[in-house]
Amino acid sequence: MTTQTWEPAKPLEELFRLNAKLTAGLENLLDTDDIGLEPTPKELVYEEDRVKVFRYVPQVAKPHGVPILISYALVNKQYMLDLQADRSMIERMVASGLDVYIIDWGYPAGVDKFLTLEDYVDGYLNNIVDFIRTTHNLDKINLLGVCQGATMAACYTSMYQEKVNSFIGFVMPFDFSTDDGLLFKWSRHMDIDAMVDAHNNLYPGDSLNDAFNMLKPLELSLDKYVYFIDKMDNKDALLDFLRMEAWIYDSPDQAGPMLKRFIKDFYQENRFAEGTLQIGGRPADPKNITCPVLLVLGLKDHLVPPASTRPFIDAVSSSDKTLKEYPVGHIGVFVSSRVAGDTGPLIHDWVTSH
Amino acid sequence: MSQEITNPWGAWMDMSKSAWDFWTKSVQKATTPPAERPTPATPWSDMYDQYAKMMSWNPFFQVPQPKPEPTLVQNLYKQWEDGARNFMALIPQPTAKDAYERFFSSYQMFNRLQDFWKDYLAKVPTDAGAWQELWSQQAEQYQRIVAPMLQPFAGNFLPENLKALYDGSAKGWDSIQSLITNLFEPVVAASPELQELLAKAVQGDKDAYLDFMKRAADTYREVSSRVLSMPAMGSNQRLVEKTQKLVDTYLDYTVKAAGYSTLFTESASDAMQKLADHLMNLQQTGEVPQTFLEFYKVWSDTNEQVFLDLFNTDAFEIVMNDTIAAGSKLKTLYDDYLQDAMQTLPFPNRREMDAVEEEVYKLRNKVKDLEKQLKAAGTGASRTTRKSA
Repeated sequence: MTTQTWEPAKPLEELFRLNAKLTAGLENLLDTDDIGLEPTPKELVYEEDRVKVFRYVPQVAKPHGVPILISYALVNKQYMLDLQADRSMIERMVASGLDVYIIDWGYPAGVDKFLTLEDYVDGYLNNIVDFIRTTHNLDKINLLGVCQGATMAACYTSMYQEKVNSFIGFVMPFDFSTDDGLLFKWSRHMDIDAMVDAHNNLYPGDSLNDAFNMLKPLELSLDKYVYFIDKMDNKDALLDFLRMEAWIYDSPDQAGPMLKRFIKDFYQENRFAEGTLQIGGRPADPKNITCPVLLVLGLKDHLVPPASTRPFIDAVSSSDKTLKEYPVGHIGVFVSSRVAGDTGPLIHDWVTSH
Repeated sequence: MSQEITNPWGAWMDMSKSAWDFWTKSVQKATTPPAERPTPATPWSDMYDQYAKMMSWNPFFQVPQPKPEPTLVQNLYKQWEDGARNFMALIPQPTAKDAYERFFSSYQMFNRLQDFWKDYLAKVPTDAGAWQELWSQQAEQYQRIVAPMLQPFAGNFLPENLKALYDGSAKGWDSIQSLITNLFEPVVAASPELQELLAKAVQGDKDAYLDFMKRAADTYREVSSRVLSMPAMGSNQRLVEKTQKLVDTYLDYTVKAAGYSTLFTESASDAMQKLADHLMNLQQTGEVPQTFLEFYKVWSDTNEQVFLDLFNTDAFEIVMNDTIAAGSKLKTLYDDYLQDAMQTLPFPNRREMDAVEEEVYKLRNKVKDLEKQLKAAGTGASRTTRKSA
């Protein structure tokens, strides 16, 4: 049989190569003052407690008449949609002539640890929609939700259908009864009361990141750093990496009552999909949604598996509904070079035709 | 890793036995007498000169004297890493520094793993009877190497101060540990079986340790827990009852954390077995990884799959959630205990601040409701700040 011996020349060659990349990478780092997050110009137009709403500065003389409001998830920051200029979904939307607003849910602290699902959906989201409706003198606006922010926006739409012109959901968890996806499996018997109480009602964003990293333990916690050095001599690639790192670990703490409710009513009891959810004493039932619906998912999404998103299409009463699937993961829907050029025009065409 | 992990405490020995079979059949035959080592295409002296020249740009790197193979490459890797770390200490950007730290941690692990495999092959016995001993020695060594990597996974979800506890640091818990020891002492003294398990556990027998903890906990609940559950008397009765409850919760957490840790340990060994299998197959086809990145990919892919298999089991979900809940309850009780102790100090504690913050939260919502009513009546402006859109 063959016995292979270790050839020292090869690791030495690799060492030389990596060292050259490290040297160039350090020079790149020393030359970098700003990694360039959120390049698309915007202005603050609304504030309520720690929640802020920004309007992106229109890039056309006369933007589309019905604005679009983006509701992002509470667990990370909304600027993932505008991470860098060449892959910014926001930038493409604005450049195409859409009038885009986005919610920054802020960083809950102190008083905010008592915030509930009602506060977020029936309070902040409703107030923001009313503000934009009033500003533009419109009865209805377009609502776009991302991940958990899409679930909240869908709940809102089911309660305030008269204020929503069309609903767009990106990578939205809806049917929590699916066995696909470790988060869904792990959450089913989670004692969320004990977890939140142990953190004095404000669950750390870092602990959520630990959970997300466990979904692909080696790939997300080690591999990317090992392979990082092999591309850090390329400044563009290095900045891409740093921007994504900055975003991934920019994770707000979670208000206890809201997190408890989301785990119990959604992950464990699947109340929204089953039409039994109540928010502020009012039913939030997807059957109440009658506006046009566009649903976008990633076929390789390990956080929100397609099996959780797809059933929404059949759950709503809308007659005008479209499901768009891309062969990418949860974040790839927004930043993948294969998809980034497609989503902006997709949203533009959808909004302008509805 | 199968879907039926119902007895994690017993799985370790099963795994060892199957590993023994595996090694006797595959590794032994793969280790032939030393083959002729190929001569490097480039002479060592030239390679070293090239390396020293490459490093000379940076005063933080100190180029060592070359040593004879096979330690030369690892020495150079280590020296390169040390130099790069020194340099990175000057970089003020936290994101980049974190990425570098993780990279170098991986690199250290690679060096240790490389040492491990070389040591392993050097020790391959000709006597088949020595395999079991070698396996258990090497498995233990392997776990020591990968333990720093596994700890972040194993400690996930736990409150921050319990992660530290999980990782072996028990600072601040000495008095509680001591109390538990006192509670266990009479139980162990009355049970020869527990004494035997404890003796094995002290010698590093994991199964014995887990079995001891479980039985001791069961016995504790039947005996001491009932005693501690009695209503206390006297002026400090509330404090005494809380202390007893805290001890009870800590014991529960300790037992569950041990089970959780065992699943990870078991998977690490499972990964080692699969990795060895894979490397032996690669050796037979002349495709053994030669460099850090090549080896790392094989190692990482193998471990990723093993741990994902584990994470998908029902047993893991149950053990993980039980451990997290037990740890969380312990922290809640401990925080409460601390606040009781701090009650007399001349500053507000967390409970008191919570009460104030909750009141402010309610008032804030009340103001918003009133503003909406005023607005609906057409008499007032919104409290929320509006800026021109």
